[in-house]
Amino acid sequence: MKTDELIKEIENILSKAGTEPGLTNTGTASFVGDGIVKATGLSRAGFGEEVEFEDGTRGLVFNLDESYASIILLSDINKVKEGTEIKTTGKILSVKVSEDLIGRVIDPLENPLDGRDLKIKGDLYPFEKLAPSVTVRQPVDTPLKTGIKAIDSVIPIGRGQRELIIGDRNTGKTAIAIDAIINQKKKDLGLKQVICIYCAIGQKRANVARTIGKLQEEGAMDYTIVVSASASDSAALQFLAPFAATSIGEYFMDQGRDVLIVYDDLSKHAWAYRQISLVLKRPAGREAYPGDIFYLHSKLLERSARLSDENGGGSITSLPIIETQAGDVSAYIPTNVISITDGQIYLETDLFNAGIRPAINVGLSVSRVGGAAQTKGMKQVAGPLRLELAQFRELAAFAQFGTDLDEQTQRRIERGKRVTEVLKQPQYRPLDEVSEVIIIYSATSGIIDDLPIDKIRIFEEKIMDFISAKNKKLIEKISGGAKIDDKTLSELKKEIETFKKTII
Amino acid sequence: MNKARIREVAKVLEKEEEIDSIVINYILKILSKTELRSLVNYLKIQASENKVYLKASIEDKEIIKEVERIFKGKEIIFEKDQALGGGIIVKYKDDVIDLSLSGYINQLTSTLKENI
Repeated sequence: MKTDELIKEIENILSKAGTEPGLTNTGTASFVGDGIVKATGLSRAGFGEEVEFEDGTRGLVFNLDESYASIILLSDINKVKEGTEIKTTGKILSVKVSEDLIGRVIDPLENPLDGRDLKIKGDLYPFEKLAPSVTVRQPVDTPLKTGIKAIDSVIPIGRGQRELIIGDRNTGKTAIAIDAIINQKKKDLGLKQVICIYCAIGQKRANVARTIGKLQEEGAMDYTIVVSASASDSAALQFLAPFAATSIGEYFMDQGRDVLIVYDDLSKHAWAYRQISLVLKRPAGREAYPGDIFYLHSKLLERSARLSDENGGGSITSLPIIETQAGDVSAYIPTNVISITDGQIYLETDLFNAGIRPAINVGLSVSRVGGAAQTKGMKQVAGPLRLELAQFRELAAFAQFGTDLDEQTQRRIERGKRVTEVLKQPQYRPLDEVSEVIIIYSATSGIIDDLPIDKIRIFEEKIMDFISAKNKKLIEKISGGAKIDDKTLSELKKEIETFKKTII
Repeated sequence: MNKARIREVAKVLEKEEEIDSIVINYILKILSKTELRSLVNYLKIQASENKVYLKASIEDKEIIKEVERIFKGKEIIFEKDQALGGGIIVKYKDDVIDLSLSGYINQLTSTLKENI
């Protein structure tokens, strides 16, 4: 900024600055410990109000008792001691939002974590906000492509949906979320660019750094914001992280843009909230969680919505992640979040160990939006997929016994094996709509029933290059997402069979 | 002893200029740790209700008179603080009204920091 501009800016700000006397409400810290401060005074403090200690430390009023207020510390706890003066700020905790946040890594209080300065000029969005009402929403009918065949075909996600990713540790939950973020680079189907927000809650810093490195490598940081409250951060920051991410997402949604928020993971978020509640001596309920643990997640996830065109047409799609213990989806927090979200992607350790990656249990996974979030073309080719897999699962046990099976059963088993193989996908290799449609059609139509299973990987890798080189018009016909007519289907079938012969 | 009674005890004690040691020993005997904590809090609240703290860089009798008029019946405790630069700070119970020059400059500085 030039000197003249800076002087003009200062004069502008000073002319607008109020001259009213400052009235603040003060108090004194009477107890400090475990990340909280109990303060006497503060008779006018409101719940959720930001307070400031005399050394500049920030806090959040979290409990209002008869004779004291409980404050959770948002900064380094070592500087505050008994007797420290506290004053209210009259503000609720908010985050400043603007386009400058894109590509940055920040903590929930907007301190930059990527080693660069961060100066934001923008609006203030409160951490806690009411979810959009029913009347300002519209139905979810636009796909959010993850680029993962198993998801886009069988468990399709729409823009504005909440789809839970649930599974044990090391089953590939974060991998699915990261692939979904990377796939937004493609701007598939001519849809709006999606702004992605990856919210890391209680994660190891090494893991977060690895994730950021991968996003940078794939060019995804051009449209991604990372909000991180790692395992070594206080429970207060871990509690606030998803709210900060959602507030940032709401800024872009209000501009009419589509946003994808990944909450990784809400189990650790629940732990942080439990810790804070126990320290504040709130009554403990089941598994020592406070009574409002359901409300904590429901109010967060309800802020994901697809707004009507009159309200900008923007959307927030959420991918909350929950970690189960020993595959127990009937535990407290998993069942809570399953009942809140619009479907779940269930990952199993057994499938992962068997080499089926992504380790999605298609039988237990569901998308309550379903076909409404799929293109007509994808719906057409993926329709038989779920049934094929269900039939295969039932018959697979017989195949293991090596019993004599009739021809139809054997065909079903062979088809199931190929469909299962086709749904496997390497990490960081999301596919576009056309590739997905062609590959899935190859499997469900039976064209590759006679292709050896170990050749399917090569088939998938090379089929698109083959068809693009030979028949580009066919790709264009399919890429629009419209229903594929019979003529195009037979053309596609012919090309696939020609290519198949080159591999066998 | 319930909280209402403790509050009444605090009101009575606060009015006394000096509290008898027999009374203090009795109170210490009959009240639990939590009740004592509550009593101390109520005593603080009672004390603050009857006092107004006034800070200024110079001792201006007219300003003190005006503050006495506004806070009728309260004890005005004056403190000189040259760091204020000018103006006054009035503190009553938990509320602080900052009409000082230094307070105004701090306010402007933080506004500038937030916006530039």
